[in-house]
Amino acid sequence: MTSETGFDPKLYDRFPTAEARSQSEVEELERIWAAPRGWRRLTIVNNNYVGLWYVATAFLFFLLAGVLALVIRTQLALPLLGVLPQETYNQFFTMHGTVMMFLFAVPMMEAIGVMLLPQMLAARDLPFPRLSAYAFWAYFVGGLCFFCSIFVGLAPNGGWFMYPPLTSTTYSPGINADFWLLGIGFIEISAIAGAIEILVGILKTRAPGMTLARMPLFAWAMLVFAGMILIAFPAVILATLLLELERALNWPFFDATRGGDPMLWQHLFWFFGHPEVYIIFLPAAGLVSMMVASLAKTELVGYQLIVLALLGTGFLSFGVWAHHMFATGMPTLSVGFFAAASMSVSLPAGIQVFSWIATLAVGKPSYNTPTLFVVGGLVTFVMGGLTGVMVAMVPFDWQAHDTHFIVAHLHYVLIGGAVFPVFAAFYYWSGMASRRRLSERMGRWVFWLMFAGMHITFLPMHLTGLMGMPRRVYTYLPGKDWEWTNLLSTVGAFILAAGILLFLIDLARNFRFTTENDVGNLYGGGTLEWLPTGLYSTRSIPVVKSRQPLWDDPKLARHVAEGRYLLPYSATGRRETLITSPVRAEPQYLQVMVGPSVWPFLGAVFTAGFFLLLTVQAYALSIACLPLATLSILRWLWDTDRQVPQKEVDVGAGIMLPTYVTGPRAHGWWATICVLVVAGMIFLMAVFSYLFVYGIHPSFWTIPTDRWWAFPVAAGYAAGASLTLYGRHLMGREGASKWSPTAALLFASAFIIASFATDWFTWQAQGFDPEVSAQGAFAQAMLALEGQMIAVIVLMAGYLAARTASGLVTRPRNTTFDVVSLFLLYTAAQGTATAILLRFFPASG
Amino acid sequence: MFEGWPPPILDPAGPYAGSIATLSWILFAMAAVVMIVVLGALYLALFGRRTIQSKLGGKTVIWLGGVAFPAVVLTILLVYGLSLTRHLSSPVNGNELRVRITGEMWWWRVAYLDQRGREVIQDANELHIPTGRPIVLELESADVIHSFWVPRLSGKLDMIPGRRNLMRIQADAPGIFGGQCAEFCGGAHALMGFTVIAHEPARFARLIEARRKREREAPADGGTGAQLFETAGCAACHRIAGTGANGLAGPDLTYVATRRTLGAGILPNNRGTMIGWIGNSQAIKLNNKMPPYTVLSAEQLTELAVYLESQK
Amino acid sequence: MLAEVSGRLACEGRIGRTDSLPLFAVTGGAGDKSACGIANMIEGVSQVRGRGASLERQCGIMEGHRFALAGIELAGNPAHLRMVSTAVGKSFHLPFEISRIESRQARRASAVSPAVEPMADEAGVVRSCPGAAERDDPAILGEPVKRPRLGHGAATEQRRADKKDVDAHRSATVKRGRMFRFLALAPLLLVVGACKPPPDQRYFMPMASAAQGKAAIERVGCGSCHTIQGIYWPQGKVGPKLDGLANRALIAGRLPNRPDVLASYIRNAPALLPGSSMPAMPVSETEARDIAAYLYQEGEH
Repeated sequence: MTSETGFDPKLYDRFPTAEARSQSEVEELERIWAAPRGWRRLTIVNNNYVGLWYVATAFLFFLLAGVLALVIRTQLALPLLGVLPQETYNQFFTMHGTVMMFLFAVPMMEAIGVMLLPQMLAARDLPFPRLSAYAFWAYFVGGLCFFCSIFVGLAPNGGWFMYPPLTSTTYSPGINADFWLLGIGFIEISAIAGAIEILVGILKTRAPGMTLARMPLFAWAMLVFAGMILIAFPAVILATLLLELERALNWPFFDATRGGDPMLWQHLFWFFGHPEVYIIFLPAAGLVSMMVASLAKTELVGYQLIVLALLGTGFLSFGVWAHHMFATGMPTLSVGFFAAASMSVSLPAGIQVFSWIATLAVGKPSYNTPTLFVVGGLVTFVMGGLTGVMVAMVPFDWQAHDTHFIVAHLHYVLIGGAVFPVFAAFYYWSGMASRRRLSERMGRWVFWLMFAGMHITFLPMHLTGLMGMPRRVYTYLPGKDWEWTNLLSTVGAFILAAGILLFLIDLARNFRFTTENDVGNLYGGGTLEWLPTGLYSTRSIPVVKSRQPLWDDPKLARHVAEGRYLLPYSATGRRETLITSPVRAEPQYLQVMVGPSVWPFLGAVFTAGFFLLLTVQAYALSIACLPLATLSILRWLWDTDRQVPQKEVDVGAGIMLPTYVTGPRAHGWWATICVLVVAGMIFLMAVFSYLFVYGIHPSFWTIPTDRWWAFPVAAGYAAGASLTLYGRHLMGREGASKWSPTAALLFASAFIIASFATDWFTWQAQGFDPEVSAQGAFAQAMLALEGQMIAVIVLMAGYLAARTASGLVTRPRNTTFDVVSLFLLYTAAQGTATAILLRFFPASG
Repeated sequence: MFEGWPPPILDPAGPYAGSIATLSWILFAMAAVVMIVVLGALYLALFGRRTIQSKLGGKTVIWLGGVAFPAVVLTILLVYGLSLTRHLSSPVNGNELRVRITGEMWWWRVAYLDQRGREVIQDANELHIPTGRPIVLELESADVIHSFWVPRLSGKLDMIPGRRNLMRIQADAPGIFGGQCAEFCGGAHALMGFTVIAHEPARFARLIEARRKREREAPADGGTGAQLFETAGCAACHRIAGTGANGLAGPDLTYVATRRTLGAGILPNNRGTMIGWIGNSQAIKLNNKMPPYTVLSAEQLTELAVYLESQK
Repeated sequence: MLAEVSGRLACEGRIGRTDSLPLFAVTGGAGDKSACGIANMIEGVSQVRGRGASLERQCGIMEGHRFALAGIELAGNPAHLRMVSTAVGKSFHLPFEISRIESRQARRASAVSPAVEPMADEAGVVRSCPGAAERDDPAILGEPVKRPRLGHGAATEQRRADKKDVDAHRSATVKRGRMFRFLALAPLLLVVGACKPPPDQRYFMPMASAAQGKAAIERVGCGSCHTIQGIYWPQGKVGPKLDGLANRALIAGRLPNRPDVLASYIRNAPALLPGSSMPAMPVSETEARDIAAYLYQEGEH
């Protein structure tokens, strides 16, 4: 048996240990992990609480968007009704789509991840608890304020995909569109924060022995999910940024009259938008895979195939975005490519569906609510998938596109693929968080009402679409034969709503939140989240030897609770968790975690304040929020990256692990890489946009005159990068002074800032007015992107200097130092690429 | 069968929509077969006999049902679909009748082009075509993205600012075909209809000839209605060929009396709707760009309506 | 939530009428339609109005309405529960109509004042009814084209041209009847019912057909200026709403509200009331009377 990190797997044989452990250790764990009470609840960062709040908030948005849907359906029940006037209707359907996609679906999956993953992986908590809290509060505050725009009639009204030029200032002069752009842009940041947390959590905090091949499928799905978010969300962040710049500063990115192109938005949006669908579906599929195995009381058939399917879906989903644009007149060749890719995505889906069926066949599924939801979801999803294959056929899509057929298709896929599984998960995992179980009898009613309602609503809607009813119409004229299908759909929508209402009643009657005395494993699951837990998760962290450890080792739960596995106590007297290696999950070090803090909450409130006040054009207040948000975040970071007196600790059975590491072993390093991936993707998307628009309207472009400035700029960046590397070298060298590595980084920052300034001013001197042509606008935007990184560098340099002054930059290794140097290197690289791209492209007229 | 059957997508009136209708039926059949297979497998997995269940519960089923079966079905469909796509979007010959249709918020500008691509006849919201031959539509947009869609004649194609998309339609027999904007284009998107009327080629030729003639000659004196049309401000936005009215912001009214509908496919064209539309179109099609003319008296409205009823 | 939203919208003046809640409008319309349809049926049976309308057909219509009426009136208004408890499915019109027909009451010619008769020409309305087919078509062709319905409706319309032997109103009634049978099955949509007292004797116009009045209203497009009960599209706001006409003392605030005056006013308002903002409408005398009958019948609230 080989090892990834040099850890000897034989050490696992020491567990379970034989000697009895004292109860005082548990009490100490409870004391350390105790959650603050009263108003200090706002400072809670523990995943049990944050996860539940997160789920509850996402569910609240599901209900709110569902109410919007009901009103929409009422308006469409019969022709020419007056429930919703035109403008209100347009706001309602925009908000319905936006809230369901951005405020329900993605956050719900992240929320379930935050709630379940630590337990599933037997970690004490996620590796960046304060980041979870920040992501949650940002989402909560930002999402609620965003939703409230509908009560004052200022909600966005351009459809959830906000196509310009309809959403440009010419055609949407109000601040409605700004609400979307800033509100959603901000919530995407929260989603990315959550994704980084989840990605690092899955790769670095699994229980020892839980190799990738033994990982629960939900973790696999969330891994792919988080990776996809890091790659897909930057596209829409860039798109919202560009459109907001166009609206605020009149830079013509999407204005065809000045060399921009409205299609650019569609490409950027759908490069995000289609993976988004799988971002929603994959975690739900992971949940189903886990539930199917437990409900059928057997191992899942085809575990490896499903993992392959998850990865394959993740990969293919980035090649299908343009199938939302078949009707835009794309060239036949690219249409063919995207059609083929879109169809191939159904193969991984087929694998998952059939492996669930095979599992159900092997096992003995019992007739209960989660099974119903899983099977009902499966049937519904398959139907949605089939209409999906239909619209992947380009000529058929030319007819079905933008009609109610598509509305039906997407609801089949999303309700079958995500909503039903999530409801199944509510029932299946409610035992983890509630003192009482949800009512099985009511649960069946909930299912049948929802299932019937869903099909009554959306099955006739296919026909409505074929009969020619476009989507997003606030009314229709009588005499088109659309009356009866629409009326049927409305009736179905209310049946569906009745099911959800019943679920709420069930929740109110039976759900009683608890972290200790939960009802537990109702459906006989075999994975680690069903170990007895407290706020500190499991008492000791088990060694995992199979995919369903609880089934394979019936004594595991008892041993874990008795502390016979790793870390049955707090080794340092603080919150801590075990960090393991990414592939084989071998113990690497003990992470000492930060505890409750009000700063993530304040940081989130001020960040939300900045964005929302910007939207309502309260510029002074908004600008005032910015330093407050920055200070809050820096203050929260200040507590992190501390070393403890114990350099090495015994994590049980004499296994000694360090308490502080840096470099690729450290979880902080992984998170930094994730952030840089996001930044890099934003930059790549910007480069794509730049080249794309040039390709569409080359006649608007001129060749920059003084190209040679690219070289001094690049040289400056190179000098900055070299100094950074030298600083890293100094850090590790014996005998260098306390300040010398920091000084090297500060000088590097100065070089980089100076290069950027040179780049900026020499470019302005060329006289490309960003309001006149797309070239000028794009150049300015790319410089602004680099400027954003520069602003981060300035903050980081100051932060590093402050930490050095306080003696917190420890030698010979320090994570803060690592993070700052990685950012410097990246910024230098991006700056060089920007300078060269702007000046050497277009190369010739 | 029931109200609205067959739906227009499955009831094609020309070869382009026809091949898509055939494809649709094939796709429905495919979906039905796959659905039966999946539901059958699911039924057997849940309620089948133990022996069948044990056969179902293996990786072979996943490979067969999840990979091989869809792969074969999808490959066949893909080949068929792509060849159809190529066929439907094959390049135009250049000698077809060309019509430029420009999407506006929330109506359609129609211009018949001559061989050299010049706009010879202006119209709005209604397209006359001859039967039995393909017509090339040049789709453009004047403001935001619209999508041109007449389901019984062809699939839809977007009208994108800064671009020109080509689309072919053909009707096999004379008839009237309704259409509607399919891409959300703001406020009154729901009320942006379109009508295509297919004529026998000979009739169509006469119609075009008559209209060409009409474009060249000034009409007979329209009397007080014509004067009112110019003084009341109508002429600032609407054009009537050969008169002083040459506004281009709104639909061309040279042939308004021949149109089947008013307000872009939403109202029947008659005296009352004409007067009502002029008087306050905002009450009928909220947010459309025509201001309400509540200042006009009953007599003036009648004169205007009578004048417009003579524009053919 | 629904109520809240619509209430909010109403407060903001976004929707003109608070009663424009769809359910109200729909069920209200249903009652009207049903009653109108039954009245029409009876006339049809006694006089064989309309082409090819057989007795069976009419009975079918009646059946169709029974469901709607039962559901709507029962669910809608508690007063109805008492009033129609024995004869569910019968409109209030029914006893009146039947007794009239049975007694073979002489049909009174409606007295249109000769003073207001021949003014159409002065108002520039040369033809009493500009031929639909004529104006429909490019003049040079002279080919008769049937006036289509709108949008996709046009397409369906043409395909169903052969089925067009039943007149427009009847088919509409049947259709709506079907729809409302379905409505009756969906009790959650039946929130408010319409209460409909018997018609006022003053406005009873036996020679006129409200059904044909409706057809005429649709043909000349009265709806583009007036919001009229039972005319769903368009619902213009240039002129006043025409519901409750039977209860008004005056027409246009100045003229006595009498059937004959109303009919003349419809034909040529400026002649009766110089300065009226309502233009003369190209309808025949009979059509004007039909329209008046429809307005009285529909608007009695």
